Amino acid sequence: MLGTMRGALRGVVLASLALGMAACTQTKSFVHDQVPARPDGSVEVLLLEPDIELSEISVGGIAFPKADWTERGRSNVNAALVQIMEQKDARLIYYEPPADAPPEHPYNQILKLHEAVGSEILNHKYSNNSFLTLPTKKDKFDWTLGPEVQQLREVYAADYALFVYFRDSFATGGRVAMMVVVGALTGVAIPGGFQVGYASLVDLDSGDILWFNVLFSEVGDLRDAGSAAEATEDLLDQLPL
Amino acid sequence: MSRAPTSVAACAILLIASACASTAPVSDIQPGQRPALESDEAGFWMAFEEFEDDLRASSLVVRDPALNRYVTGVVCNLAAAYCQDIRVYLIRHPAFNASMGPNGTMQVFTGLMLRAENEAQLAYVLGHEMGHYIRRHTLTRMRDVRNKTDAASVFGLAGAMVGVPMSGAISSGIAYASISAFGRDQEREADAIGFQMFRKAGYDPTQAARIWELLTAEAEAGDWPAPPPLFASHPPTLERRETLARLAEEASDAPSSDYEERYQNTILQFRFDWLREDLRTRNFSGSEHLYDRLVEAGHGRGETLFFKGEIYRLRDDEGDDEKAVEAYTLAIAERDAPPEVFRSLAFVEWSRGRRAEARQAFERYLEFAPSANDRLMIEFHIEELS
Repeated sequence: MLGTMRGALRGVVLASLALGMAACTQTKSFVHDQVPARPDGSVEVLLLEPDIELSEISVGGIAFPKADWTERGRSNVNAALVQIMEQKDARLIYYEPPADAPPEHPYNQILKLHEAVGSEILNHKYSNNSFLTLPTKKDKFDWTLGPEVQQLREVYAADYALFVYFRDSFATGGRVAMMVVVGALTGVAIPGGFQVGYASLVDLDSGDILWFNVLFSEVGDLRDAGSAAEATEDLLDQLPL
Repeated sequence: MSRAPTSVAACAILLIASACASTAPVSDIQPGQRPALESDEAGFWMAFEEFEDDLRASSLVVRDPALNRYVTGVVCNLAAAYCQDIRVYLIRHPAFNASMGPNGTMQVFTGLMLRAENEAQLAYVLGHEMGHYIRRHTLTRMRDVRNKTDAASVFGLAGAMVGVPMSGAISSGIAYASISAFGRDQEREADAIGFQMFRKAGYDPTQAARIWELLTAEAEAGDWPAPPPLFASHPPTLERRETLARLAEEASDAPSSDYEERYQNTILQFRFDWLREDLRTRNFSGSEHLYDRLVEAGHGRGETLFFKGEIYRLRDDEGDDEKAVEAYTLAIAERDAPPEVFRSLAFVEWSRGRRAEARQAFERYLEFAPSANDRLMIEFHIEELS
């Protein structure tokens, strides 16, 4: 098969970061050094299709994607997003790329650019390894997608763009038994399922990433509407809107 | 620590695990069929749909409508009923490769298109890939992976409990070897179903074995042992080639064709780019073997000879200058020599100290490509050589 699945790769990066975090639910966010004042009244937020996938961890430790859980998780997160945005007096505008959009189409380019910049933020701002801390980004947060994002602003008349990413996995019964037996006999904890996510808010005028947050949880469950709402709230907590 | 309870625990896990993935044989996918949302198969489809989204926005995809219509036409010709279920993506990549996702995402590399001699050879590979789709091979393979890695981790655990050193490594090794063997069975199946469709569509049955012969010869001529990607997962074993040859012999005497002219006319305008990509692999001996074969076949001889000369110019071994000039000279004698042949000839002549010949070749380059984007540089060289 051609190329790597970038989503999967990002999942690995997030998972490795997550191992450095303690149990339960944790978030860690960054805010841009210069956040322009929020316009008065209602704001328009362009929501790029949330990248969400739920999977099942087999006894052998492989994550198998689950379509029905994913569908439920997506709809739960989307419902939660609508609620949260309403509270912030922000109107969600949905991202709808043309079906036959060529690679050079601005939507595709902006998606890819955000994916690349987001990966860099994860690598260089979230790593526990000081070797990966960039000297030029050490004490600041000034990542940007550049002013080309204004193309999205013009098409959708939106002030901001919001990117949401979630991966949630659950151990099968057999995996849980395996975790218990190995844990009891050897004292070594082998991984079961967990939830990771990140979100970012982009200013569609400057292209600056105004805010970026990573979430890790061992208790979350996007299949459940209440738990998904909680996870989405945790993820968007501190959103500067 | 007592051994008995741990083995019991391991067996209990295995019992739960073995209930997870069905080992029952699956039926062929029907035209238009989609997996049930709750099934494991739907998960594999979903993962591939995400991959396909990336593919759709990839700059590696060749989007020429005519070429895409042609390859899709071959797919539909092989199995009209599945025509709507399979989406072909032509991938700009010099390797000989094709692949099929569980949801009907078919990838065909341009390196395969460059190497196929005729439509029949392309159709055989496409039919083989469609065989994987129809037989739902991703599903059975992933279920097999799941069962074997489950069992390996449980047996690894059991072994660790009773004190067999390295048992974890041994059991996962066994699982992987067994998973690969499963792959070869699927290749046989895909060959059988692909061949059937290919034969029914009226393609020359001898072309299936022929493409493997061509590839084996090219791989043997290559500079490094790494086989083309398709070889790794689809080994062209003697057994396999013999099976295809036998199938060809058994095939009825119904009229058949390889559709060489139609194929070569379709790819003609793309060959230059595909040859350029092939040259970039710097597998010079493999490319030399391939270009010789293409020159002999007689399609696009001028451009192929130009690229043959480029092999020698870039490799720059002892005696390569002469070989390059020889290839360029042969290219120039053909009607379809690209203007670039004069520019390359000029550089080689210059490096040999033949300044007058170099200058003349630069001038001819500009004569054939008056609006070349390196015109100013070439004019500068002409002045230098005056």
